[in-house]
Amino acid sequence: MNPQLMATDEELMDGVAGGEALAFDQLLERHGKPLFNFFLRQVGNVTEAEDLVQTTFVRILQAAPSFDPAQKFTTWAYRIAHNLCVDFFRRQQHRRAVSLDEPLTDDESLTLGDLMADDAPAPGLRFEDNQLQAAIRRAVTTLPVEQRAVVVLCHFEGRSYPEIAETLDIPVGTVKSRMHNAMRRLRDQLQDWM
Amino acid sequence: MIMLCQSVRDELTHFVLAQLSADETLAVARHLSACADCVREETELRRTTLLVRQWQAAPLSEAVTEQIRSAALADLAAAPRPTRPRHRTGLSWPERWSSLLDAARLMQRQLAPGAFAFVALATLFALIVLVRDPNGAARSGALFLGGMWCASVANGVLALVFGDPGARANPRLRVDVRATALSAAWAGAAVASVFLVVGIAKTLTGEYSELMRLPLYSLASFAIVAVAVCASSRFAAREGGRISGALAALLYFAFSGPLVYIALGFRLDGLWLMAEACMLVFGLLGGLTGDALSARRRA
Repeated sequence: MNPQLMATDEELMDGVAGGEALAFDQLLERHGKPLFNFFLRQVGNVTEAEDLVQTTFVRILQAAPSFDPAQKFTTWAYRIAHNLCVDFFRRQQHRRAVSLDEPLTDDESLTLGDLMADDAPAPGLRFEDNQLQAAIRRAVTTLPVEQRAVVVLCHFEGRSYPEIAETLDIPVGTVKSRMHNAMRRLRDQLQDWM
Repeated sequence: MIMLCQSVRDELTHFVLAQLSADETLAVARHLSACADCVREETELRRTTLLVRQWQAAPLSEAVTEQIRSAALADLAAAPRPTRPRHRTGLSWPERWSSLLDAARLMQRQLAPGAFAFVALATLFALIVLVRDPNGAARSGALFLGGMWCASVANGVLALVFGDPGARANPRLRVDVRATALSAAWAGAAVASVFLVVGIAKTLTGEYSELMRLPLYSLASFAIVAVAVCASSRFAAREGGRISGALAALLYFAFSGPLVYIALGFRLDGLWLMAEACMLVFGLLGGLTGDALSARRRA
């Protein structure tokens, strides 16, 4: 069996620091999809999420020699990802681009983001499921940016509050208040589906 | 009641997400068992959580994965990566010294059963030596074994205090220095204990003066060292192959040699030196065998 398969993330980072391409490949295999979804669920756009995940892995590669194996790789990597997200939203604010969540129809059921996103559901997926996916995406991506990160890390990455606090570099109390407010907003947004 | 409801509602999100402590969870659960309004709110939040979590993960396209992979390969091939320092200085010196007590506590917990057994055996050995060996032929042997055991404990404490967690002897081999040093300490303590038991048996049968002179007995003793180091390496391989048996043997003798020399009262004895050298050779043989077996297992 390939020893890389048994190695921990931190050991793989050691390998990356030593120039092992296989170790990097294994990290990409393990964390490429979760990191991509971390971005996708925040920026709501596949192309942007792909760009951000590429940048994250470039940063991981560049910072590998200074990575401290005593710290948890996922916390470290998601901190990089979160910082990239913050930069992305800051740039977006400067550009004052057209909001992806701006409704295109009178009944607000279709947004620009829905049209641009090419993460189309599998052909077999029912119409209601498709609608539900769009509704959840709209509800999450319209949350304030700082609440979005907490929601994505908790609901989709399964992180505990202390882990989220460490990743985002904020106190646990702030994580709690952001999650409290976010869940109430989500409940209001998804009222029709409950 | 209103205030109580309000404070419970502030915690409901965290209750639903199972992020409260056991006491807090119990307090909220007690309140919910008697408050229909809060139960309604809790149900809504639970449904919201279930709904949100239905957002399916999207796959990362193969083209993007390939782009990342080829960019990384180009980067790794273009610039040779700087080698990681052999010893990562994760702790400052004051932190190291302050962790001395923690290390002693940890070693005490880890080696406590062994220490009690050793003290009991050593007391028995001393009594037997006093009764049956009034000329003191076995006393230097007892001192040697005691020194060997103490040196092992000292090795463990040194490994815990001065070994940085994650320090690697070689990034490619991923040999964990601290774990190796700790393993060497264990191997040394085990070997000293075995010697002590054999010493008691030999003293009781009146053969102690011949203890180290019999070639067959010496060979068996050295084989014990080889097996102990080999076993520690094999055990480490099962846990992820992060300990080198050969390095463990070298580390053990690098520390224990001088300490036993001090315990013997700075006396260089040709027989003991020969015994130490033989144990080092056999320890290395055992360690290398353990490493080879681990490498085969990994392959």
